[in-house]
Amino acid sequence: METFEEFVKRILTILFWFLLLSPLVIFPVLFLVVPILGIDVTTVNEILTATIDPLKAIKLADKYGIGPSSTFFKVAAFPGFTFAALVATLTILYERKLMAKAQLRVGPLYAGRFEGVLQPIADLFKLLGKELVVPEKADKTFFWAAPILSLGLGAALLTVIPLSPTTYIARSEFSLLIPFAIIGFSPLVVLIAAWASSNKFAFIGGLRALHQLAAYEIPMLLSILGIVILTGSFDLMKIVEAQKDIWFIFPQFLAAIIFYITILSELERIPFDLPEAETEIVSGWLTEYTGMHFGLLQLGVYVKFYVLALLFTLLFLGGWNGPAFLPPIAWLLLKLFFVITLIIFPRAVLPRLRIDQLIRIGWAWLIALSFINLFIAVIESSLGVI
Amino acid sequence: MNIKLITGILGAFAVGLRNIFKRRMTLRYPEQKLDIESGYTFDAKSNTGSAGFKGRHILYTDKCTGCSLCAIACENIADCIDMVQVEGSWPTNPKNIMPQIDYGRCVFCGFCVDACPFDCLFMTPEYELSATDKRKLVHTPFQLAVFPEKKGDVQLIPDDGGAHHD
Repeated sequence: METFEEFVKRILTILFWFLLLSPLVIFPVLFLVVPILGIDVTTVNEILTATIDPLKAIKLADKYGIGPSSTFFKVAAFPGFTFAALVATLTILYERKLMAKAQLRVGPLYAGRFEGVLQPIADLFKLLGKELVVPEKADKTFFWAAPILSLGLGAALLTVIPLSPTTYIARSEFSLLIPFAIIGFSPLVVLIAAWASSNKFAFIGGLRALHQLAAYEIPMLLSILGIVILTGSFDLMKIVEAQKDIWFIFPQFLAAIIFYITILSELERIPFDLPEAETEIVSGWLTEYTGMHFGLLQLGVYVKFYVLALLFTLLFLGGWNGPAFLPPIAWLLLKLFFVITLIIFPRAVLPRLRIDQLIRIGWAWLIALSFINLFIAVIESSLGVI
Repeated sequence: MNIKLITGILGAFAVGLRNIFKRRMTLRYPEQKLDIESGYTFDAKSNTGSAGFKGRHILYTDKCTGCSLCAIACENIADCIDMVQVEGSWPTNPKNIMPQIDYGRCVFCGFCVDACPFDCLFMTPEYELSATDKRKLVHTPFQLAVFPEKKGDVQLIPDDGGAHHD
C-alpha cells in the first residue's frame, strides 16, 4: 500500500522530470518562433534567468507591475487572499489537532512524518479528486454560484484590514464599518446555497442560519460602538494607535465577551452550530455539496474565521502594539494565534444549544448587555480614561 | 443565567485543557501490537482461574482424555466445539477423540477451559484469527496444539490517569 508521503514524492518526481525536459520544447519556441513575432530577445533571456534567480525574478515582476510592492501582489498574495487562505488551511489542521488533544484522541497522524502535518494537502487532493454531484432538482445556477459567492465574500473582507502600519491593501476612514457591511451579506449566501440544494435538511439549516445570523449581527455591531465612542474614529489604524498605552480589552471587557460570543455564532461553531447540526439535520445547508464545491464553501467560512479573529485582535488586544524586540507583524500574528485557539477551543468541550435558547441569548441577553456596555463606554470617555 | 451554568462551562474548559497534556492510549494497531503476557488458564485442583487474555485455545494433546466435557460446557453458549476422530495412538485417549473449535461461532467465554478437569485446554493471547474463508475458521485439534508465536512488542504502562503505552 502506498502511503501519502510516497504519493507526494511520486507527484514531485513527475514535476521534476517535466521541468527538466521542458526546455526541449521551450528553447525552440523561444529562439525560433519568438523572434519571428518580433519580441525583444533580451526579454526572453530575462525570463530564462529569472526562473533560476529569485532576485532577478523580483526585478522582472516589478518591470511588469506585479512585484512585491504592487497592488496586484498585495491583493493576490501577502496581506491579501493567498495569505488568508494559507492561514485558513493551517487553522483547519490546528483545529483538528487541538480538538483531538482535548478529547484524548490523536487526530491526523499518517500524512507527513510529524503529527500529520501534510493532512491539508491530502485533504486538498481528496477534494479535487471527488465527483461534483449536483442534485437533479437543484437550481443549477445558484447551486454553482453559492461556493464562489462564499469565497468571494470571505476575500472581500480582507480589503481594508491592516496587518501592520505598513502592511495593508487599501486604507479607508471607515475600515471598521466596511467588514461589518460585507459580513451582513453572509446570510444571503447561506440562504442561496440552502434554497438551491432543494433538500429539506439544507433548507432547515438555511433558515436556522438566517435566524441566527440576524439575531447576532446586532449585538456584534453594538459591542464595537463602545470602542468607536472611546476613539472617535472608524479607522482601524487609529483604533490600534489609541491602544498604545492600554488595550481595549481592559476598559471594554464586557464588549470583548459579547464580541467573542457573536464571533462563535457568526462562524456557526459549537455551541452555536445549529445551521450545521450534524446529529439533527445531516450537515445543514452544506448537505448537498460535494468535492471542491464543499472545499470552496469551507475555505470561505475559514477565511471569515481569520478575518473575525483578526478584528478581535485589532479591536481588543492592541493589534501590532508590543515591545520593540519583535517586529509589529510578529506581535499581531502571535495574538492572532491566541485568538484562534480561543475560538476553536469551545468546539472541543461544549454541547450544542437549542434554537430557542440561542435566540433568547441573542435578542435578550446580548443586546441588553451591549447597551449596558455602551453606557460604560460613555462614562469612561467622559471621565477621560482613554 | 445561573452560577451553575457558568461554573459548568468553565469546568468543561478546564477538563479540555488538562486533557491536552495527558498521554494518549491510542495504539496504532497494524504497526504497533500490544505485548500480552499470558492467556487465560484454570487450575482444576484449586478451582481458580488466572487473570489472562481470552484468545485462541491451546490444546495439550498428550493430556487430553476425550471426555467431551468442554463440548458439553459449550453446548448452550456457542455450540462451537465438536469432538472429532484423530489419527495416531494416544495413551491417555482410548477413544481417539479431541475437540475441534469453530471460531466463527466461539464467543471466547472460557467456560470450556473451566470445564476441563485434566488441565489440557487453556487460552493464549493470540487474537488475529480472521480468515478469507469461513471453513478456515474451524481449527482442528492439531492446529490447536500449536503454541502461537509472540507478535506484540509494545508494553502497557499503568499510571494515575489509567494507562499509556510507550
